[in-house]
Amino acid sequence: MYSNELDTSLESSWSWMLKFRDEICSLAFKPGSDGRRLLALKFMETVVLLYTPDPNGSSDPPADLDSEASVKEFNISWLRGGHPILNIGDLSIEASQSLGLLLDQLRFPTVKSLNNLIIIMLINSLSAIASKRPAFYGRILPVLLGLDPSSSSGKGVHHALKSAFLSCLNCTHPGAVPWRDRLIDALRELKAVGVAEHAAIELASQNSGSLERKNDSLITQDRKPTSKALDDIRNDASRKRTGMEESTDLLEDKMSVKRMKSVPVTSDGSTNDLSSDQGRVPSGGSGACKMEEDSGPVQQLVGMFGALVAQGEKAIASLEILISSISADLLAEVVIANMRNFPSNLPQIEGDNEQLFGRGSCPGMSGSNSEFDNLTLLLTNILSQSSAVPQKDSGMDSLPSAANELELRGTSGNTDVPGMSYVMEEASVPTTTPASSGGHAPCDTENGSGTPSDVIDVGNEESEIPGLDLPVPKDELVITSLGSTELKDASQEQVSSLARSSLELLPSVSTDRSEELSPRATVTDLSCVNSLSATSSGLSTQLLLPKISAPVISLSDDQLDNLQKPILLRITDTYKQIATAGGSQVCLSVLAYLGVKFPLDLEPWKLLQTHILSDYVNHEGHELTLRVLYRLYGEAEEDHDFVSSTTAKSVYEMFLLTVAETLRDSFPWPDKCLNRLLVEVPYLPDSILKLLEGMCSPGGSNKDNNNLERVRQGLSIVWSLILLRPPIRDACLTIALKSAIHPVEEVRDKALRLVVNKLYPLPSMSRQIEAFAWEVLVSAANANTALESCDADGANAEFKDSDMGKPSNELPVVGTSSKGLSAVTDSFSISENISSSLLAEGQRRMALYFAICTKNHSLFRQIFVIYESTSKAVKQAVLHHIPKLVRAIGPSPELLQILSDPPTGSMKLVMQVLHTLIDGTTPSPELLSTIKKLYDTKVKDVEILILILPFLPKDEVLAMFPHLVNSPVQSPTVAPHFLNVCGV
Amino acid sequence: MKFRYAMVCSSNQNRSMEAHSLFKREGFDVSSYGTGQHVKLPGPSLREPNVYDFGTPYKHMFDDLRRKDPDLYKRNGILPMLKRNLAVKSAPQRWQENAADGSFDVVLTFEEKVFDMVIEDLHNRNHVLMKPVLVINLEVKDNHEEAAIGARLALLLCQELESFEAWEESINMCLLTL
Repeated sequence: MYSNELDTSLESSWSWMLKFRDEICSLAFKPGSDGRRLLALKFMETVVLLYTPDPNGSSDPPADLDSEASVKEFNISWLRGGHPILNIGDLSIEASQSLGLLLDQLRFPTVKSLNNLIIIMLINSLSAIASKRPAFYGRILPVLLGLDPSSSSGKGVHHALKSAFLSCLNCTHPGAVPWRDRLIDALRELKAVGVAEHAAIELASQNSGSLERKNDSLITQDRKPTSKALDDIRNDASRKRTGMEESTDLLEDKMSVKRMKSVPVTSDGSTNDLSSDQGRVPSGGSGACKMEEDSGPVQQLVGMFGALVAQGEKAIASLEILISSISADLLAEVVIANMRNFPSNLPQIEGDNEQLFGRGSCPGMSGSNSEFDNLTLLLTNILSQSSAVPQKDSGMDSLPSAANELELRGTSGNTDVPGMSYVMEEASVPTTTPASSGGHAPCDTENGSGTPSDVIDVGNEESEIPGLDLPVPKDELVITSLGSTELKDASQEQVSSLARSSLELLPSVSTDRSEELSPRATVTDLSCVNSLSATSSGLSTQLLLPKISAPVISLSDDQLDNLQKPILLRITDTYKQIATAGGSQVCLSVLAYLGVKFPLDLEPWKLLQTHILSDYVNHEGHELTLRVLYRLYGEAEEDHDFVSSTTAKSVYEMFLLTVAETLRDSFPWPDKCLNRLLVEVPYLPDSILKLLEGMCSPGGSNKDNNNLERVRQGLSIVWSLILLRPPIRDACLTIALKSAIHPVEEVRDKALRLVVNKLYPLPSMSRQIEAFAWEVLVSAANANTALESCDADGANAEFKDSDMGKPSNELPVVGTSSKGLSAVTDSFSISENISSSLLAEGQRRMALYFAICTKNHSLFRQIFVIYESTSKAVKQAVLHHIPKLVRAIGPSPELLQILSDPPTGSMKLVMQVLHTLIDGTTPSPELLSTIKKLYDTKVKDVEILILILPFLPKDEVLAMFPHLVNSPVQSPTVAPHFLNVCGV
Repeated sequence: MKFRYAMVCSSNQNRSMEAHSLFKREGFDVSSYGTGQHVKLPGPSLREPNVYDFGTPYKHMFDDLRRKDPDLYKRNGILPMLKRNLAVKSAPQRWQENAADGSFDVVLTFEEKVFDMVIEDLHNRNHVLMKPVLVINLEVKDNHEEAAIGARLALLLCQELESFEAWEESINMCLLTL
């Protein structure tokens, strides 16, 4: 490419290349195969990127042009020196045109006609171009921001736009800065608020970090003006980014000014304000004379305050006297000096972050009205003000110090922010002076933060400060700053040991709190200041202050485990007191929370279960179990990851199962504890349904009362669940139905009562119940036929010959003849056993169907239909059931309908039904007419007539007489009837 | 089967493996990956998951967990899952570390985070073939039941994809109908 003697072949290949490019570019916008268009669009993206200089790439070509890697990262700016064929200007114009074409595609109305896929591709390409070539930001972003994701179908466009905005937001090029607000707004609209905010915070931190770094490096060359300018930029940037939060910041600033003023002036002992506590001094020691004697007056005062605070409430009065006697400037200095004793994380979070992003960046740090928080508030406000100082540098020199006094004493009503920052500026001088005078090198090199620059800005004014005649000796500070880390460690240790002892006294304090308060590992500029002051005073009294502020302990896992179990035990042990005091609600919540937080090997669940089950009623076992279960359910559903949700799910199941089993055993029917629990828990796992099934269908044929009670309990729970938990209705119904075909008759009866009387009337269930009953009925018919064909072969000939369906004298008397029953042989008795078991089986399976027949008479017909095809045992079972059933139904129209037209082969059944209907009562006229009709049309058996003879009028009987006489049947029952009729 | 498929979730254990196993049974050319830093499996508590590196054989995890607490891991379905996995392939693979497996035609992810990571990684890869790849995210909850449903849906989708002449034309409708 460097060669000036390009031969013609190269030239022609380039011209062909251009043709090729044009061809592909035209493809990109022609309607046609989307697959081809996608690739063509990608090609155009690459063309645009290749034709424009890469601001991040090197503008000099690499030495080794032949290597593949270097060719891949070709940068057009290599050709800046000139090239015989490639003209940078022309190429960039072409790139710009291509970009225009791409952008036009996404503009209304063209975008309407595009496929989603193409739109996504365009968005991705354009965002790639925008982030790689920030010069195009201004052209690309308006188009992307103008896109309406809701107008397109599918989530793809939405997601693509979101990622595009995010990637643009991450671009650190200065050209991208003005777009951030709009990008964040757009992301908010796309409901990626969390992401947007996160990105904004990240950016801000990156940005301020980098700016501050620049700041530092520039300071060395040109101190004041540059740093000021940069700070201005930084502040502006942060303002812009926070956008709407700015106003709240201002408001807060104002408020903080007020709050701050109130601290020293209204030193009210009752509030236990830390600052006011400081006021109690052995009164002889009036501040002014004392501090002049010592080398570090401010530090000494701080030490004195510390000592007074340590004395507790009795020192309040002296503190007040002390505060009122010292000058406002000095007081400010004391406060600021004291500020250094804070743990590094607090001022950083509350001060820095708050200023940049408004309140709420650190919840839990503010809010409570403790001494600690008041002090925190005061100091962080000071900090936030002092960090805003560089903006006001210019006006500072002329500021009279009298203004400070007015501000701090609160006599002036002026609460505006600039005024405040002046005050802070003045006040911060002594704090920062040591760093500047004592050689800022250690601080600079260690932390490289922006603080030293502020220090230097104001360092030359120290002589103007009233009340501070003696500057701090330089050498002391240098030494102490070097030793800072050791001392910090020592103080940390002391703090933790103190706090640990306090925790041991009070094991019920949650350890999570201390975790929240643990200091950040990062060393900030403030921690540098902090360590400086902590060491410079080097007094033990100073160390007392952190003790008040943050009991920070980092415990090892073992230590945690050792603490956690006693914590739980203690809460459960003192349950009675807590409940009496009315704190049981909180207690329950805490217990549930601890259960989730503690590791499983401590067996928190077992402890809780023991607690619950030891006295379910008095320990509010129901409430606690529910809380625990809802907590676990929440964990499982929260779905942060597979791990936690699966664990929570399995713990949930185990917990519920254990409690349910214990309740079942210790609170038998008719207690409703278990019922209530199962109705109210978030969901019922399969194991619970199994438990219920076990209750409703106890194994074996054990009929003991215990089991029956359990069945009743189980069925009543099933009933409640069906009513109150629609999603598991089917599962519950299955349980009830299973119980309804249980081998033990007592169990079956109970279940049948539930199914038939309560469930079957529900429209949603009746169909299922019918289907199930029918299935079981049919299976009974088929199974028994198969079985019987095995056992009934051979010796049972007599049995076969005898009247079908009534082989056994076990049968209750069913009205009709008992012919054939006399023949009881040995072989019969063998098969009798088998057939009785078959009979029982048949009854078991048919009970349900028969039972629902009483509710829906039309189902009865099916029994007649299948009757013929069934086995003997089943027939027996049917005949066994019939009397009960028919009595229950009575001569209903449906039954009469069936009787008037019975399916073929069901005559035996019909006869029995008739017998039952007539037995002991006077048949209705409808029944009589049905029977007569039946005789006339289908059944030519006179036996049917004989049944109703007694109820017929005489002339009708006489009309029938010929039939009866001609009848081949020699029924013993005929004669009495006939005689009766004839009036003999 | 004309396409090469990749199933990607975070740990290459549950969702992607469920789909992998199903696709394999149906005769698809399929691989599966995870995009997380490690392979995480539920442990005795929320605080103590079992963490393995990608590349640790499923068999190893299976034996390890069975040794630790067979009841727990059987109950929460981890052991059966691992057993299924080791019948499909030997060890979980990390998407970002397996670019050498070649290019895929269709990549199915089961979580938006995973989708983003796959896209990001694809952008960082060396583009040689300049072949378009279809990346679809099918949001599936990370539990056994949902994974099974997700895998079946994925199969339906891919069977439909196979039936198209060119997916670029029809993918829109296909996704809409799904």
